[in-house]
Amino acid sequence: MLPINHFDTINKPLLTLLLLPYSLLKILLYEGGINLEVLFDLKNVRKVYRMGEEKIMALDDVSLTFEKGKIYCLLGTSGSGKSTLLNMLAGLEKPTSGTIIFKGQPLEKLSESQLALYRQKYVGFVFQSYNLLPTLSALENVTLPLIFRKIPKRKRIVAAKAMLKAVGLANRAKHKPMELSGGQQQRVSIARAFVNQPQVIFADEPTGNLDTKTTYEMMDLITGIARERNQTLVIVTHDTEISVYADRVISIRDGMVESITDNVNTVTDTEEKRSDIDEEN
Amino acid sequence: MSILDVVGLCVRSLIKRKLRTFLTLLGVIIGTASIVLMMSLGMATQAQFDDLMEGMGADMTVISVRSAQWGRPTAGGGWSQPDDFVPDLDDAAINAFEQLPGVLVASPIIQGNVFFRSGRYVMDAWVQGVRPAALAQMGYTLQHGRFLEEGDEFAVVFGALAELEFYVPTSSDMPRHWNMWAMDLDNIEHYVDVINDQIRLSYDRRLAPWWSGGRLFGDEDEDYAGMDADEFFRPITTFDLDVVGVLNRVDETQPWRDRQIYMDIYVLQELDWLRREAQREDEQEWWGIFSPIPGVRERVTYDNAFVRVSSIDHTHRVASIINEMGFWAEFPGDWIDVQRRQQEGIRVLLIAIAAISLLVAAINIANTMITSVTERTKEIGVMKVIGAAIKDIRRMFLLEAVMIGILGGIFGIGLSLIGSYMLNNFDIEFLEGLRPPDVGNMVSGAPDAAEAVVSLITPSLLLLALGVAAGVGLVAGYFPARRATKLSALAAIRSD
Ligand SMILES: Nc1ncnc2c1ncn2[C@@H]1O[C@H](COP(=O)(O)OP(=O)(O)O)[C@@H](O)[C@H]1O
Ligand SMILES: [Mg+2]
Repeated sequence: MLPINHFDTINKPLLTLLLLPYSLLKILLYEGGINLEVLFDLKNVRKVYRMGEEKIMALDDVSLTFEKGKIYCLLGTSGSGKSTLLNMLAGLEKPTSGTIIFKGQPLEKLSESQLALYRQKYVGFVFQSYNLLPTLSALENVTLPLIFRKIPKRKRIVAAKAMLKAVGLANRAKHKPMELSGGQQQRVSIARAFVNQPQVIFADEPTGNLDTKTTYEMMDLITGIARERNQTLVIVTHDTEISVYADRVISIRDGMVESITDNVNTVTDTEEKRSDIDEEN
Repeated sequence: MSILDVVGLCVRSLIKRKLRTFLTLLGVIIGTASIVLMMSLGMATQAQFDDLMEGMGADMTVISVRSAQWGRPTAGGGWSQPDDFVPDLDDAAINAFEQLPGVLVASPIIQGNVFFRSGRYVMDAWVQGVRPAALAQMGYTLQHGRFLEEGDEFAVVFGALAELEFYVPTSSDMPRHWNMWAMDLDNIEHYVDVINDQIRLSYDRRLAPWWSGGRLFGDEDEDYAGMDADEFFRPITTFDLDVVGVLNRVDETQPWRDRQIYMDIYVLQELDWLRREAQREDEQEWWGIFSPIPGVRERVTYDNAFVRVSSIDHTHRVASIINEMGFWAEFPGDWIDVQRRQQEGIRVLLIAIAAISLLVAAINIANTMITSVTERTKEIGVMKVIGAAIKDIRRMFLLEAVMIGILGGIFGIGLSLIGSYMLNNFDIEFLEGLRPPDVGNMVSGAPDAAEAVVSLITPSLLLLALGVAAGVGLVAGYFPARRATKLSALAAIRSD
């Protein structure tokens, strides 16, 4: 649970009563060995941007759930509202109407500093353009989230080094972002997103600036780590090739959920994927 | 985020933009150095003036007031025309002085000539008459007893060395105070135990002066050498004197100030009147004429009054108010004060100019920080997304500004120390005007102006400067830091 008093506006016994059938179902499903812990619960989320007189409906009545430990892909064309949805999940934007409940807590009710705390504790973020701090070395960039969390120096350096090693950049720790290739920078960025051991990682077009080969390396890496650690991953992309990495693909069009498909044969094996690429070439 | 980590990030960001940091620092360095230097000039002059005053031994908190019926001395050494209307220096005026802010006490002061005798010793004393309450406020401390009180009759308070004025009338030895310079004043031999011995007081002049060689004035032929002391002290009326207190020494360098004897002004006035009446009777007896000028029993105006202020800072102001009221107020070393004030004007101007340079430095810091925030908008957005609290962002920018302030302060202090050294060790013509007047030969104990420093930097001045520099950084960094915290993370990331 969030360390924030989030029930102050809600009648707690009533809520418990309302959620009782759901809770019972959850217990049943758990007993059945199916992992269904809901991390995010979106209800009728709407986002309207005002551009002067004109209104842009970026999201239109979206209701979705995100479960713990699954990999999601938000798939859609440019301007369909994927990023808007992702940003709202990350607490960077508030819905115009509707609610986004994270582990029982409506995110839109949190203050700026509570949201900062939420991101610090639960969220990792991978950007399309890496967004590493240019003055800091690769290692320091990875330690940054831990610095914000006041983790003691020795501890955070150990954690950051291990993370860099996991993304295959152990020997680049002292390099500044400028001295790294795009792919390497994105690896650092991934290390930075995972170092905190967040429950959910958001990646907005993480491979948008990379070539095809690096794209698959990066997807292998990011999904591999997330699966290994049973973390939830939400990837935004317009590329159907990438959607095959996800357990569940949420197609978005014009701000609405068009379809939700579960991938049965999710690509988990790198070799298999590689051979796919070879076939294509 | 811990402070140490914030410092680390700030240092990086400052190093990254070396040239800009350096230029901003330069502003603070120059600002701090000029403030410290300008203030050091003031502190040096102040220290020298203080030494000067001390050398003069002047108690700058005592203002002496006289009637300005003959005008006042002018700065040029002349004498001014009397005012058209000259107010009386009377009890009402003195009470008015007492009401002025900063004044501890005001009292008229008169001198009266009376005679004391104790055993074989006598004294021809000039006693100071003051209001009983005033004595306790004159800066004295007590060795024995108490100060004067309302209702005391023939009570006096002896200065520490007043006892030296007792002499033996039948011998031709001088009263000891005549060569007190040669005496060990800390260990004087007591002729009279003023507290315990009986002392008689008289007002009429039937006392052989010490220089008559034991003869009464006018009777040179007669030899009184073998006579009893009583023969030389034959007053008509005597009173029992009560020495209620003995004062401590006030000033080693001015032993004459310790010979004062204080009495209630109203008792002394009465005695003085009696003395003059007795004198008239004497004159009648000797020459058969009765002096036509009677004494004044109750004086309505005084020749002198003194005002004591609570600190040296009030002296000048109170003195000028009293002058404006139409009296002639003076305090020891007021000519030094005039000079000091003139120089203070110049110094305030210099400090103001230095303060402007510090203000420019502050604007410079603010400008640098705003540029920094604008430049790093994207970074700020990224940091917010990956978990920086608003507090962290604010601290980052605030601390960066404060660090520029502190760093500039430290280097500025270094520069000011070098500057101060140069000012003190090289002759710089235009600073001559800032030196205090050369009074080394006029006033004993005053420092020689030639060896006095032009610029004096104290540790507290340095600390103050460092604090001011850090404060300047803090103030200058406030709005840029606020701007950084107010940035929307998303908008910041999208910006380039
Ligand atoms: N800050 C904003 N102000 C105005 N319109 C916006 C803003 N952000 C997004 N939009 C609009 O909302 C729609 C969805 O944008 P977005 O979520 O970024 O799309 P996607 O990520 O799928 O390309 C677009 O039409 C876009 O122009
Ligand atoms: Mg997008």
